[in-house]
Amino acid sequence: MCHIMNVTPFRLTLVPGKSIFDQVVFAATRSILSGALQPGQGFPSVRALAADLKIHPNTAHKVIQHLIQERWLEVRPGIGTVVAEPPEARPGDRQRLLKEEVEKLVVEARRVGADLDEVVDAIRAGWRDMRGDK
Amino acid sequence: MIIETQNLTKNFWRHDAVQDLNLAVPEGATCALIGANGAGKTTTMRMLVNVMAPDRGSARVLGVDSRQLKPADRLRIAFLSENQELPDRLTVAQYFEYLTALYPGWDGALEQKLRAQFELPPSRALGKLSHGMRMKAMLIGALSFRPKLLILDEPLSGLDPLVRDEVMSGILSQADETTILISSHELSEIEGCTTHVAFMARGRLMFQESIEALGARFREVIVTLSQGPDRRNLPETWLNPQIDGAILRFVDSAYVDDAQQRAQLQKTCGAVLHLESAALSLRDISKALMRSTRQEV
Amino acid sequence: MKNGSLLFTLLRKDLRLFGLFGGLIAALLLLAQFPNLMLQLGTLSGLIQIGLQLGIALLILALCYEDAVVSLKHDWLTRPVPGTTLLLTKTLLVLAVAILPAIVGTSIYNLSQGASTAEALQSGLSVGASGDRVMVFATVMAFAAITANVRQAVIVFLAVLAATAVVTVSFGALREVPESPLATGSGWVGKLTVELLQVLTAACILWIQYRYRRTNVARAIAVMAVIAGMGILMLLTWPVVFGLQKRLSSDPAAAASVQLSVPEGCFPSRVLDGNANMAGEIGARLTALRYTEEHRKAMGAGAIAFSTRLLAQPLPAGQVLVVDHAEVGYYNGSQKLRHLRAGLSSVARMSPINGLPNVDHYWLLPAADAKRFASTAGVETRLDYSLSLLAAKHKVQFAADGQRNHYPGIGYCGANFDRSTGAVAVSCFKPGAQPAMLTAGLEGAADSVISNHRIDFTPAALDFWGGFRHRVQLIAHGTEIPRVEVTVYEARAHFDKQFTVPGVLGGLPSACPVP
Repeated sequence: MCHIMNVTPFRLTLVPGKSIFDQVVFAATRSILSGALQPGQGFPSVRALAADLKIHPNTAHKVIQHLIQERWLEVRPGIGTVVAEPPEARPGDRQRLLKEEVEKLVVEARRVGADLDEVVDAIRAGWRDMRGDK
Repeated sequence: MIIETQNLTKNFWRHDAVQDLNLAVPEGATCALIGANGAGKTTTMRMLVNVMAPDRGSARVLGVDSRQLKPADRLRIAFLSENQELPDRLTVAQYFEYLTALYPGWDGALEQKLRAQFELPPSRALGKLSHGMRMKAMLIGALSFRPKLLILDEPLSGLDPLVRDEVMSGILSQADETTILISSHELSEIEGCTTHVAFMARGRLMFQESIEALGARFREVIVTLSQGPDRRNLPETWLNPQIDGAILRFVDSAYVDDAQQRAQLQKTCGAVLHLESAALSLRDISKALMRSTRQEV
Repeated sequence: MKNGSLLFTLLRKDLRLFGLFGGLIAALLLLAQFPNLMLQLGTLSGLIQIGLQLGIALLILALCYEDAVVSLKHDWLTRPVPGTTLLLTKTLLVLAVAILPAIVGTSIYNLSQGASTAEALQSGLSVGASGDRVMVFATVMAFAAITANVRQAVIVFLAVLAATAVVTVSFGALREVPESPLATGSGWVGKLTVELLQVLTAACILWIQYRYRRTNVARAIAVMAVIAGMGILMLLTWPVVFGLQKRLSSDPAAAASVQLSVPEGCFPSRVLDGNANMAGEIGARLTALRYTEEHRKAMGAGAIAFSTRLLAQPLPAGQVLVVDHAEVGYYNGSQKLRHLRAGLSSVARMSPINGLPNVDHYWLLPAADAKRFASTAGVETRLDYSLSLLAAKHKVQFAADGQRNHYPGIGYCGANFDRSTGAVAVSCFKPGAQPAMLTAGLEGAADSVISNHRIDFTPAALDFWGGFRHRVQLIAHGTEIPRVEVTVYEARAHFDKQFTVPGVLGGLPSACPVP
């Protein structure tokens, strides 16, 4: 029997400049991707999420709706909201990551004056972390 | 608009507390009222619930003129202030018994849930509660009748971090069913749930806008120029400028995007050698504003 | 929310907060209505009385400040509590703690003294819910409604006291303080006016504060009422008061049949010194005891003390003359040189000596004025008397056997006889309107008749609240239970009478020299 968790299994430190919605969605998807949240595990309710992260329930509601829409979470009748199997990559996703997201990263790196080696090292480190969490 | 004021003014004997305030809080918002001590926040809130009468101007709360608030209207408004005088010799249980009888719409289940969550001792007198427990008791007294408007004057002041968390949880549990006007210095605590921000300085409302819009137009800037800039040329929207040789630091309160900012810098100060610009938390925005308004003497 | 259950909720909260304190006060108040108990406690009873006054005042203040109107922080201000219901709550509690126990205690005590249920209840009401007490409690509540806490209340109270003292002293220093009409049978004019003003002001303040919370308006009303009260009392001089009283005479023509005179001859007089033990007729009567210390100080050392007498022809049976006010004025032609006020009180019943009703008044004339008037030609002395003619209205005789009965027009009367001391304690409770005067005496012994010294001309229509217990102590000899006769009088006519005598002390200075 699945057990609805009241504790949100990821930490969130609000960073200025990005919307709270984006930050929470990112933290949630990161958790799921890194394996901290396993498929089938219960996801906190709107109120629990809001209370834990100190965000407005409306925002928490939007986050969960978005995650359900993007198939990160699914609603199981009688049980609640649970983590779904990781969604299959959609056709344009890979393209989107390697072209647009990378371009954004490069532009940002140039702006703050980081050089190629620093960026590559950072990518490697991040990748290692994700693998470690799994 | 759940709250709408028109030129709300209150003058004390030697001190103009609130001047020509035109505050508007939409339904469902969680509006943070920020400003330095003495900016007029508490006076404003007191006028909204008719604890104090304005000298000029008016306020409409839930569609009713604040000076005409009837007991029936107060069934939908909750007010919480750090300094409330409670019937101190009543026990916690007796106090809630009294409140339950005042509100036909009192949600006993919610009251019980919150009391259990906050672990309030039922037979201890209100006056003997610690500050944190007292605030929690007042919060239950404010939330349990599911008000349409919640006005909170410094609800987190003087509370230890754990209690602050508990109080915020309590507030957040109702935030989607009510409109909240909250003043607090603990901006990092309330930033997460704030939808609108209103900033007061010296009795005046400097601005009110959504928190997204506020965050979007503030940036902390550190720029290295080719030569030291002339302080007199700097635009007013650049707050608290500090010049150290050729390095200029300021808080841009009218940021649009990087390109526009760079262009403005070049026009005002000459060539830009190095530019760093970062978004600010609500707390830092508030500090910058208070610092700048303090200088405007 | 039905107002009934809201009232109950508020009452319950306040009972929880003040039940103990209030219960204590109520119990003490109840016990204080039993004179026999209080007597047994000796000096402690005095402390209890003072403690009760303070306690009740503090309780009322605390009760009202619990949900203060002058406040920015009290819980009720932002709760769905109507101000009027709150006021009703506080009022009911004040009634329960400060009025009801007094009513109950007095009633029970009266029952224990042999009174009927009717007398006991009415007597209880007249004591417990007397106009004075209701007024004081209303005033304290109104005071609490315009102040923020006990500290502020004490400060304001002391400040008002100090200001009143300053005003009184400086006023008294500017001119001699005249005799107050409040102490006469016509005192009701001033008393009722001020009482009405006080009650209306208190009610007004309470309504404005609890219904509308306009503290500045309420405070302004309070200040204006105090000033108005003082002004009224200052404006109500004797001529104004007695002018009104005269117009209320039920039988003005009766005054015409009264024949008054002043005996021929010099006024008995002497220079007043501190010696109260001088022998002789003049010495025994014209002593320092006839005057208050302030009066003697005001008139200065070496003042001339003298007495005047007023005589009346014998009155028809059942009629009594009372002097309400006496004044001596020195005139030169139409110019008034000065006037004198009587020593102690000028109110006196003209009691018969050798069948002729008469009364003496005592005066002090400063030495310098006496000398000056004596050496000025044409100086006359004018004696101004304000009198009331009373007629017996009801009379009743009964045995002093402790039995109490109701006698129409008189009230509930009874008397106790103590064989060992011979004391006869007569006690008559009259609900509602009071007689102008009440006397009691042993049946058949005309010279045993004494009044209870309460002269009161309040019109019956205005005298509906409460009642009064008249007590008279007589002495009977012998061992048989005496019979007592009680008479109540009504005022028939009020009139002034003046006598002008040449000179300063009853005659021209050659005939009646200044000592």
